[in-house]
Order: sequence, then structure tokens, then C-alpha cells
Amino acid sequence: MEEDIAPNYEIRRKNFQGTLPVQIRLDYSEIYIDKELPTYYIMQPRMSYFFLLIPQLIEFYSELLEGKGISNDEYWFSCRGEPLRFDLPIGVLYDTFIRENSSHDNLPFKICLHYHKFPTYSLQKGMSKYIFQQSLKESSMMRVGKATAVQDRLEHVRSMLNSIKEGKYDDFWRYNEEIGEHSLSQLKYFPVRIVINRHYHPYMLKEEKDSIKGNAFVIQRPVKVDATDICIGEYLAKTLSKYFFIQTEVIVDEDNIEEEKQNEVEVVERSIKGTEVIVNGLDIDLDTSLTWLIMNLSAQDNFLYITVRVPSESIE
Amino acid sequence: MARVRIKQLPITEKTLFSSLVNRNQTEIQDYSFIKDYTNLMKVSINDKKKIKDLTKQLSEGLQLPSEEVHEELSQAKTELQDLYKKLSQRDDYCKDFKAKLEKAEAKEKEYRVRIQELEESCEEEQKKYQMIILTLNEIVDKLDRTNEQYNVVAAEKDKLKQDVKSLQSDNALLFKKVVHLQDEVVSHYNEQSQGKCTCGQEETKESEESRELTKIEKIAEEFGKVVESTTHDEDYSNTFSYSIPSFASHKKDLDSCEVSAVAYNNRGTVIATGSAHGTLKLWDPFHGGEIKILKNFSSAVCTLSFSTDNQFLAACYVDRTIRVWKTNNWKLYNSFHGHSDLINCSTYSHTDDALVTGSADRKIKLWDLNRGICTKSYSGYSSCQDIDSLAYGSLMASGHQDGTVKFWTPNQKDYIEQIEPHGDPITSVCFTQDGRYLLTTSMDHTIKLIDVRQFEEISEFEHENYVNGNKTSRASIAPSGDYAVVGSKNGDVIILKLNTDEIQLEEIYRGEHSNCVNICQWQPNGGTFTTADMKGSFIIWQ
Repeated sequence: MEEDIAPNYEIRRKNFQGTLPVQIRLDYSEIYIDKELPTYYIMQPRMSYFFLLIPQLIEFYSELLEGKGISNDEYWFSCRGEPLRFDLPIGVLYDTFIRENSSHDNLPFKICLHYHKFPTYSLQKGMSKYIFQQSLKESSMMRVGKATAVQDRLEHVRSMLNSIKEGKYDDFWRYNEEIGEHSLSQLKYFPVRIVINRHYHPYMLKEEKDSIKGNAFVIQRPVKVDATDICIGEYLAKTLSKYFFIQTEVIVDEDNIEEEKQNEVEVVERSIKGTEVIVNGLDIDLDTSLTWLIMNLSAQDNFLYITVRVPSESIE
Repeated sequence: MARVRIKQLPITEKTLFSSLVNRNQTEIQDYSFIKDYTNLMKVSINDKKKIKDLTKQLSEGLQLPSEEVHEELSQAKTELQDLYKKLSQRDDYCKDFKAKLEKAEAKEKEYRVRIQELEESCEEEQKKYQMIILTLNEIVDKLDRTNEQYNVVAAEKDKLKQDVKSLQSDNALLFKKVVHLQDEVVSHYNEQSQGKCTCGQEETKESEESRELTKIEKIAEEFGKVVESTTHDEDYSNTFSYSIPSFASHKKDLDSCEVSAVAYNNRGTVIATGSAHGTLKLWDPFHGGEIKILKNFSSAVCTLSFSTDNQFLAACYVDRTIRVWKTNNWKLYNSFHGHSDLINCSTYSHTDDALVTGSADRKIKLWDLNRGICTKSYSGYSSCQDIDSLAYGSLMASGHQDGTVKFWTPNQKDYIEQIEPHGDPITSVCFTQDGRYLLTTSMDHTIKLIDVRQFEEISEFEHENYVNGNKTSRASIAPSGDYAVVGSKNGDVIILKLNTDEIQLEEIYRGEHSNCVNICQWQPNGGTFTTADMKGSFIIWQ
């Protein structure tokens, strides 16, 4: 089984090298100026974070922002009027908010920069420095049961973040081998995160739903490392029972009609039509093995990000 | 039917790889210019920085004649600045040090002053402590002395007690002797009267007689008091019959409601009963016949009592009025009220010639029945549950809800003595006829006998059959003072024998009453007593 699950390094490299064009603009409502504001374009790796762009942007808009005494913690980004979470990588954010029906019409990723009215109801101020280190610790905690490997190598973590920003695969994996590579016998849980494009809670009331606007909501539910291998559909049916459910179907073998053999087959179905399941910009079939995906397509912090897009028109 | 879980791998590694490559290409495809743009942006920003630096250098460089001088000057400036900095740092350091020193000195002074104060206070406290120890020693010495004195006194007391006992025994012996001698004297006189004719022996007999008489006189002089008291006791005992009533002679029903009051008149010829419906009835205690029904008032009767001269019957009602009936024609004579709460008890005081009432408004009042006036009013400090006065004395005793028994005399405004024999509310108090002892019952289901002269508890009675069921339950003592009757919650009627040392159980009568016995009342002559219960039946025992 271990041979089957061993990662393909080429796939990992290609996954790491994915980049997205990003278009950033200052919020018009926050600056009073006659001229048209200059827009900032950049190619940013899918694994990178938005808060890494802030120093560059301050330099770019130095004529407008100089002398206002704004600290780096005051800045935040929004997309289509909703604040973007700092702790999610850019690729995942793009998949949840922009990407529709595997088309690329909405590229580049258009984003607004703000320095006013920090949305404290959905984001936490001044925590962006520790996000990568924190999520690394979480994932290693789930995998091995301890985070000492990360805590002992905090300098390495900093250089890993730099290499992510610049898209250097070899530099990144030189450090990540010590943190993220384990044999199957050492592992306890696989870290998996599901990101939904709307607010979801199994026990949520209707009134609360109305009050909370659809920000990207993260459900974190690790998978136990067992001999039994489950597919991604089963996992989603367990965690998101509202949108996925398991149905049994009876199939008659046409070849052996004489013996009249019938097989019951379990199939995972979507309760709302058009819900998409995306991993790193790829549409994934619900029957694929979850551990195989984890081995090949896990992100820079060793989490597997599964984005579930529920179509916005659907009435709940 | 086999259940199979199909697990296909629709994406093989090759397809995944190709799709990733495809993704990377398509996402970049149209936006390859951005890379060039960013490079250009970097270059432009770097250029801007360079321009800024150059302009700065230019503006500084224009003021100076040549570069060498400028360099020298700048070096000198930097050196000077460093020196100034060092100087200022030293100055600052000195200042800080001085300030710290001053602070430390001030603190030292404060601490010294404090230490002095503390030392002084220490000395004072030591002095105090020594004084206390001295006083303690004195007190201990005193205690020792008093203990010794107490031991001496106790020894003397024991001796005296022994003397008293021996004297009592001597007394008894001597009394016997006196009686014997009296008999002898009587027989002697008889012999003398029979044989008057025998004259020869007269003189000798007379002389013997005179000797004996002188003896008797001497003894009588010495122990005259004892003789008198014994004769008095005999007279006293003759007026009462000693037999205990043992069977229920008459059983009556009063409208099946609570019998709230029972009273004998002073000669024991009439029983008056009052019920919770308000009816007053008069009964013949010997034959059990109904003599008369007095006028029916709507409110319940609380207590009843006859005056000692048998002229009046006073009844207290729940509406706080006191109504007085004349006994010669049984007509309503007077009606008055003065209490602000329920009247729990009443009795007739012989010495004051007045009705005494005790009430839940914590007051004890004395009433002149002729005029209908309140003559005296005492404050009892707590709700008065029962009151009793001496038949031939001025002392009154009242039992209160706070568990105290208070003693009153007519001359003083406040009580003269207060004791607390029971922890719980007291339900009845009852004097013996001679006024020596007081019987108290309480809600703690015990009966106690109290010596009135010392105001001390003598003995206690407790029995598994005796349960005090009501706050207004009354006990009664026989006029001879030997027996008492109390009623229990389960309907038992209990006869107690009162000795000076202890209370003993004499008899329990069962089966006559079916529920809580409320009132027991002994006839003033001692022949019968009556008991009444909560369901309206009352029994005359003979």
C-alpha cells in the first residue's frame, strides 16, 4: 500500500509552480484624489499569501500613503466587497471566490486594498506574521502528535516563506523535508481543511445565517490513518451532510444474467446541483482516494485544501 | 446480495500531471506581460531611489568648495558629534546617579524613623504584656483561694446536712416517745378516774403524773413547732379524698367541635364548658346532667374561670371580649375588652380579687369584674400561654411562648424571677395547693416540677406515650398535691404521682378519647376530674 501512496515528485513540483495573475487597486472611497489611481499587477504563486505583498504595495503607493502614519497591520484586502482571510493561500481564495465552471474569464484576480476600518468582526489584527508558522505547527501536530520539529526551526520557516513568495521549489523542499516528510507508520492523522464559499454550521439557526455574510468558512477535520482507504466523497458526506449524502444503488451484472447476481453499490450524491469540488484549481471526481490526493496535492503547509463551491443562486 | 464499495481512480498520475501543467499554462497565458511589468516596476522604483539620493548629495555638495575638505569636515563633524554624545551621556549618567543617591538617602531616613517608632511601640506592648501577666497571676491566686473557701463551705454543708438528718431522725424518735407518753398519761388519768376511792396511792400517782407532765411540757417546749405542724397536716388532709378517679362515669358530646375551656366552680358543684362554636354549658359533675345552656355567641370561647367567691363566671372569647355572668341567676352581667390579640388564658386571683388574663399581645391584665375596669397591666415580653395564681397567696406564674416561666407579685411592676426550664414554648403552668411546687408542660413533650421557693427545677418526666399535641393543652394537679393529670396527643389520659424528688407514672387510661386530649381539670374537692378533647367529647372521671 505504501508503494501506491508514495508521492509523485513531478506532480508536486508542478503543483508548487502554479501562479496566478493578480490585479490590486486602492479603494477609491478612502482616498480623495483627482487623478486616476495606478493599478498594480503581479504574478503571484498559488501557495503564497496576500499579506506578503503589503511592503511592495506601500512602496508602490508611496506618494499617496507616505506621511499618514499607517502601520502594516492596518492594511487588509477585499474581493467583491468581502474581506479576504489572511490565513488561506491565494490559490484557495481564488478557487472559492472567483473561479466558476473551470473557466478563466475572471482572470486576473481583482483585489482591493484598504487601510481604513479594519473588519474586526471577521479578521484578526496583527496576526499575519505568525500565520504560516501556526498552520505548519497545526499540521505537524495532527500528523505526528507534536510540533517540536517546527518550533526548533523557526529560522527555517522564515526562509521557507521567502522561497514560497519567490516560487523556488528546491529551496522550499530542502527545509520542508525535515518538517513535512514522514513514513506512513509515523503518521497518526492526515490534516485536511474544507473551505466553503458560504457560512456553514450544522447547528446554525436561520436568523444567524441572515446576519453573517458569506465569508469563506473553514472546516478542519483530520482523517485517521488506517488500513481502510476512504474516497473524498465519503469524507465530504461525513463532514458536510447538508450538501453530500451516500445513496445505495442496485446494479445487475449484465454478463451473468443467468446467475442473477445483484450488487449493492454506494454512490455519493450532491444534494444541490452544480456544487463543485476543487483541489488546487482542479475539478476532482468524488470517487478519488483521499490519501492519494493528500500525498500529491497537499499545500505548502502540508494541509489538503478542499474547496466546495455551492452555487449562489440555490435556495436553502 | 453483496455490498461492494466501488473505488475507481479516474485521475491517474499522468492525467493529473497534464491537468496541472494545463492549469499553469492557462492561468498565465494571457498575462505574460505582467512579468515584464513587474520587472520594469522594480527598475523604475530603483531609479527613483537613486534619483532621490543623487539630489540629496547634490544639494549638500553644492555648499562645499571641494570634496577633500568636505570629507575632512564631515569626519571632524562626526567625531565631534560622537564626543558630544559621549559627554551628554556622561552628564545624564551623573544626573541619574545623583537622583538615585538622593532617593536612597531619603528612604534611609524614613526607615530609621520607622525603626525608632516600632521599637517604642514594642516596649509599650511589652509593658502591657507584663501588666496583663501580673493581673492574670492575681486572678489565678484569687481563684485558688475561692476554690479552697468553696471546698471548706461544701464540707461544712455536708456536715450540716448530716446533722439535719440525724436531728430529723431524733425528732421522729422523740415524737414517737411523746405520743407514747401521751397515751400513758391518758391511761393513767383513766385509771385515776376509775379508782377514786383508792386514796392511798393517790399522792404517789400525782407525783408521778406531775413528773411526766413536766417531761411532756419540756419536750413540747423544745419541739412544739413540730407537733403543731403535724396536727395541721392532719387537718389539711381531712378535707380532701385521696382516691384517684379510675373510670369514666359520664361521657358527653359538645356538637362535635373542640372543647376549648373547662372550669369548675370553687365548691366543685358545677362544671362550665365552652366550645369552639361559642356555646357555654353548665353540667352537674356528680350525675352528668346538663344544668343550663348560656347564650350562644358566634365567636369561640377561649377560657373560662369562676371567681373565688363563686359570684361570677368570666368567659373570654376569640373576638377579644370578656363577658361576665352572674351565677345566682345566670344572666349576662358585664362585657368589656382591652386586649389587642387572642386571650390565651385566665385565672382568678384571690388576693387581688380580680380576673387575670394573659394574651398573645404579650400583656397580662387584671380586671375588676364588678366594674369592668382593667386595674393593672403587666408586660410579659412574650406571648402568654398559661397563667396560674396561688390559691392562698400573692404569687402568680405565667408560661410564655419563648420558653420562659415568669413569676409576679402584685406590688411590683415587673416580674420578680424568670426561669427557662424548657427550650420550647410552654403550654401550661399549675401550682400545687400549698404553693410549694409548680408543674409545667411544654411542646418538647416533657413535664417538669419546679421548686417555687428556690426557682429551680427539681425533676423531669418523659414517657413514650406522652406527646403534647396542642399549644393550649392544660395539665391539672389534684388539690391534695400528690397527683397530676395530663392528656396526650393519642387520647391517653396519664395520671402522675408527684413526689418531692421525682415525678412517677401512676396510671394510663386508654380508649376513652379517640384524639388529642386538650384540657384536664381536677375538681377543687378532689373527687373527680374532667378531660376534654379536640373532637368535642368530654368525660367526667370518678
